[in-house]
Amino acid sequence: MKEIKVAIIGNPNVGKTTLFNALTGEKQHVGNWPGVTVEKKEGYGRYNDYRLHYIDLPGVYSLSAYSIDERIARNFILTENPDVVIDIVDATNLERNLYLTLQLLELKANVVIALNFMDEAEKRKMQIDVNKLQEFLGVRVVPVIAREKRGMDELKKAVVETAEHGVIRKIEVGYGRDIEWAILEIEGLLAEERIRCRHCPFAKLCLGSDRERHWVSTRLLEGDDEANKVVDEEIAIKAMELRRKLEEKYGDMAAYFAKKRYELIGKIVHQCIRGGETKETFSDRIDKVMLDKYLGIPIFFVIMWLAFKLTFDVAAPFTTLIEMFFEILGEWVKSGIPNGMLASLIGEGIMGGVGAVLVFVPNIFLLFFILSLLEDTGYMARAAFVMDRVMYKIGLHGKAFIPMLLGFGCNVPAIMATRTMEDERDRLLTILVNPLMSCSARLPVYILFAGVFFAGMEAGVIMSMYLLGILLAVAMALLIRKIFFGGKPSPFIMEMPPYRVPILKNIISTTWMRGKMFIRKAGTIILVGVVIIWFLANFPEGNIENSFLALIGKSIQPLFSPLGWSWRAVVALLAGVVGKEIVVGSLGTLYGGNLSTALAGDFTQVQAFAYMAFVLIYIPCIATIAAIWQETGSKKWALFTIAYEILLAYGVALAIVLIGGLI
Amino acid sequence: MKSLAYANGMFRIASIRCGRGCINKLTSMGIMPGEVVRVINNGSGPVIIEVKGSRIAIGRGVAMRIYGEEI
Repeated sequence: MKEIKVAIIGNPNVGKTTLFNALTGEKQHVGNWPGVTVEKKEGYGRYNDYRLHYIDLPGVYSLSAYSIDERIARNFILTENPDVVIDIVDATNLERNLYLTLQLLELKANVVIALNFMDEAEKRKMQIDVNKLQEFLGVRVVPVIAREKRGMDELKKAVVETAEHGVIRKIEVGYGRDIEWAILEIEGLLAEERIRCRHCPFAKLCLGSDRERHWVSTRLLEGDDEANKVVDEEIAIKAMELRRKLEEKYGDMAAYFAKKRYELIGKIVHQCIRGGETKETFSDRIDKVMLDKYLGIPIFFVIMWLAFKLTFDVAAPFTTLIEMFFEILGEWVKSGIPNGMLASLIGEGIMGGVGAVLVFVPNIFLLFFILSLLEDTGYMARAAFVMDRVMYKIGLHGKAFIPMLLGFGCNVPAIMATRTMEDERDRLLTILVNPLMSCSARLPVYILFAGVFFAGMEAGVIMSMYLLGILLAVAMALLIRKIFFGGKPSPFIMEMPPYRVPILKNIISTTWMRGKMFIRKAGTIILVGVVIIWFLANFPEGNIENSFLALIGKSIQPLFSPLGWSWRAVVALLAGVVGKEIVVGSLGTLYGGNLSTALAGDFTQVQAFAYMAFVLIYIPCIATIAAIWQETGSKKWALFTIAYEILLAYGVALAIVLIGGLI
Repeated sequence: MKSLAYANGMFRIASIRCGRGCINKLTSMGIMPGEVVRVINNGSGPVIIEVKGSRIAIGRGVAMRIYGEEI
């Protein structure tokens, strides 16, 4: 059986996921593109004697490589040489969609066009002459309605034909004689060079083939920085000279190339499309309310509140069930295994550890479900729109608001929710400050301490912790951007896709795939972490009072003496790395007897407040560390988060103690 | 010359003065000099315009740098 490698590409919001699901069925695999956090989906399908291997490329508007998505898409097509590229195009929006198509054709990719939303085009009384379109573009054009799975066989047939026989004919955009000559000249220079492969940041580009040379030459003239990196300096300089000369006559080259492409598209669209109404759409009318100056933000908060409530309320009984299940299982294992140490390892260490991971699962699945629902209906873009103004002021992108808000529930799904953000730096920043949003696991600690030390004003004190978290997140966001990234959040330019009725199957499959990845990847890291902490807490004598953990606690306690905390308090913090709610349990074990009275004797009010702040800020829990590691794709950022949070926690706690001492 | 941030109705773009990446993204979405766009929502947040059949929201910072005239 012959395998055909098919890349699927298209603008955002053109039904790419729907088409991918329709083509691949259940056989899908989701991972990350190497070295980056962008999701990579692959799947398999079959047509006659061919096995079709589909790779879903990120949704992009062009292949100019200014964003990570664009770089991934274009490097994949250039260097991995897929046999066929399915370009999914929105029939109601041909003029803009064809811009990407033309760039694909300039790459000399074997393109097949899937013309989606034919039903909507009809509704708008548009007549599209598919044959003429095919003639103009020189590639097979297949009308489809992806959500109803219509046109899939025809599409597969076109894919196989294109794989076997290539495109119908090659077309040129036609940039005019001067420019074509300049392209040829650079191509000539490149051909004289020995064949060499250069690494640009994300892929290897070999200038061995005519196709690559032609493309790189074009991009050099257009003034593409990435193209500059893959050629010799001399050639880059020569190309720049040529470009300067042409710019005297034709103006900015990038603008000129774009203009020429749009001219050709205009011609094609004019010839192939008749009719079409441009009146106020249903979506416009909904947006009048959703994006209203005064109503927009209240509506956003109501929707968020519902999403939040749903995530944590619906999940709560399942979470309790899972907790109970593991508790019972743990007890059962402990009583069933005669060897005490082994029983404790399996019962408390491993079962407790696996349980600690699995309690997150209901939350995470529900959250992913709701997020994909919001995304698929089109509301997510509106949410970003509504919040952009506020977020911009603190150096974050409008899309960062939802992950930040979700952090109040649990930082793990919140960090995973940053996947909707396109700009790598915006996303990284949002991930790094997210642990400062006080998650629900920290609440038990606040409740305990506020109850003991601030009776009568618990609510205010607990509230102050949340506010402190928000303030620190804002401050750190500004600071980290200034130190590491510089500049401002990426400019807010975002399509507002029309509202659509979501497809349940799509949402479920997205939810399942993302959730599965969490269980697998984070699960392994958390398990290891939990076992290590268990070991430290139980050796050498089997109780936490005389354990290695206590030993570590006692030996680093002097570090915390300026804050006035006892070694027990410090040990509880160490154990809390597994999950911050564990701090309370550990304090219980360590102090024994009546915890409230014991605490009241061991902390002053100011020290207690400092301790609460420390619990808020210090090391994120193991699950969060794992999520940061996984989502940023590097240990470096996970370690960075741990380091800055410890320093920040210490600094803030010390400030509280010092200032509190003066009052 | 008027900035898109203060425009309403139909608007013909004359020039765009933001960075390369920004210009490039706008271009790929069909927003470039010469293009006539329709301002759909211009309130306190980003400006929403209709261009080539789709709705694009542009942050005020960028909208300030898009110049042209109402027609």
